[in-house]
Amino acid sequence: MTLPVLPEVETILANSAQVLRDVVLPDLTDEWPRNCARVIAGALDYAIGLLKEDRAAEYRAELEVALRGVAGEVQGEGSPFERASAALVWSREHDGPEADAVRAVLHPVLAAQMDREAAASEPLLTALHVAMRGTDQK
Amino acid sequence: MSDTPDTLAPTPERFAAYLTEAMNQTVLVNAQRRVAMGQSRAMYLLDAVVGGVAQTLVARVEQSGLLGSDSTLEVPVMQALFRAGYPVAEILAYEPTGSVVGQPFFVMAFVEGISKEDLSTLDDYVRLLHQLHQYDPDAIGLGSLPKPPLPKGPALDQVDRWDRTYRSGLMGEPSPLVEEAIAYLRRHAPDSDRLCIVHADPGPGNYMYVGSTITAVVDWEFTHLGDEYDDWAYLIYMRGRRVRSPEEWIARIREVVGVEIDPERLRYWRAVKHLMGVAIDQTATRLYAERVETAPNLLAIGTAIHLSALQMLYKAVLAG
Repeated sequence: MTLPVLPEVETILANSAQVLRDVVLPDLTDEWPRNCARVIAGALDYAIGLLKEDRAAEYRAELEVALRGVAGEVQGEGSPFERASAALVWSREHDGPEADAVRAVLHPVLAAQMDREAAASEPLLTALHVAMRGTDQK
Repeated sequence: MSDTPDTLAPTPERFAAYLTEAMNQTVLVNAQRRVAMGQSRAMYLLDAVVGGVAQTLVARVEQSGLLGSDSTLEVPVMQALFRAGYPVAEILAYEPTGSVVGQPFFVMAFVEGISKEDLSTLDDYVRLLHQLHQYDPDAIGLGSLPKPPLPKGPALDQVDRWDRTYRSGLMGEPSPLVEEAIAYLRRHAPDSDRLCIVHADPGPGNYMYVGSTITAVVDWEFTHLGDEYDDWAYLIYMRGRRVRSPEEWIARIREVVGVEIDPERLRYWRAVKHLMGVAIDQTATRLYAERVETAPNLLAIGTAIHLSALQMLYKAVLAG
């Protein structure tokens, strides 16, 4: 160890994104490099979010808790995502209150995770849309 | 040492050498420029001289199966439609092996036009889409396209296709809401009354125009024989949703081409098209994670775009 304090990963990513946007992008004229630079900056913002929290682990834990409210025989075996998949497929292959109950338990959890993840990837969505809008004319 | 597909990359020299042989005349490529239009293919504008005549050519290069499509049906579909007089770019050469630039590609004539959303060309575009649906596939040389059995084959074939595409991009565990949607769509497949040529990705952004004249319909990689609602649903709820409300589209389609849209059938096909979006975007996840393709747009497609499609699928068919 030659440095007492190493740079923070988040700082490196954030500074790199800023330089891409403020320095590199304005000087790029070709369409494809501009597209890439813009989306890479969004990717760095997205990566910072991944560093801050282990969302995948949180999602697994939430789903594991929710699956306690679903009959074991419709879950099969495997990870929480595999068991939730099996239960929801069963719920669409059968009619009645038991099928409805599976969805009533799992949908709120999965929909919330989907919305949270969509919000987390918003920098990428914005970057790609902006990049695509700049390329309408050929 | 000879080049292998892994080390090849598109260059003007490689395009020129290939086109000289394929077109049986001297082709020079003075410069190439990648454009960002579209996502499934890498698109290059080539400043070429063909037999002494300067012209722009367009190379459409595959990207390792990104979005679950390749050129094997796209090329014959475009060729047949071009021969039938439909506004499609002329294909000049097709290299299916990947031995020239590392991936299969085809080269087409440049078509003047822009693809920006434009209200003045929408009615003509609806007429063109309807015209596509009226072709007899056998009569224009597309009799070899797979013909799903009526009445439920068109729906079930598409659900199966997007199921396979989604699974090809999975990284280990399944996505519960996608699995549920596939099960739902398999169980509720509606009847189709006839087969027609389906573009499958129609709407604003996927046609070119100059002034008020449509010069080319583009992006034929998902084209197949199926149910025309496949196209109407995509036009109404996806590509067309920024320019008109669904109600406006349904009324306009009725007025312009006389097609009366059945809301229940449309609802089903809307869900199929959202599943298509979810599935094709999933392919980007795997290609990016395994570093087969490294362009950053794949990360955006595999995360943000995929999730956006999943949210729409959920709202359209699963919630409530």
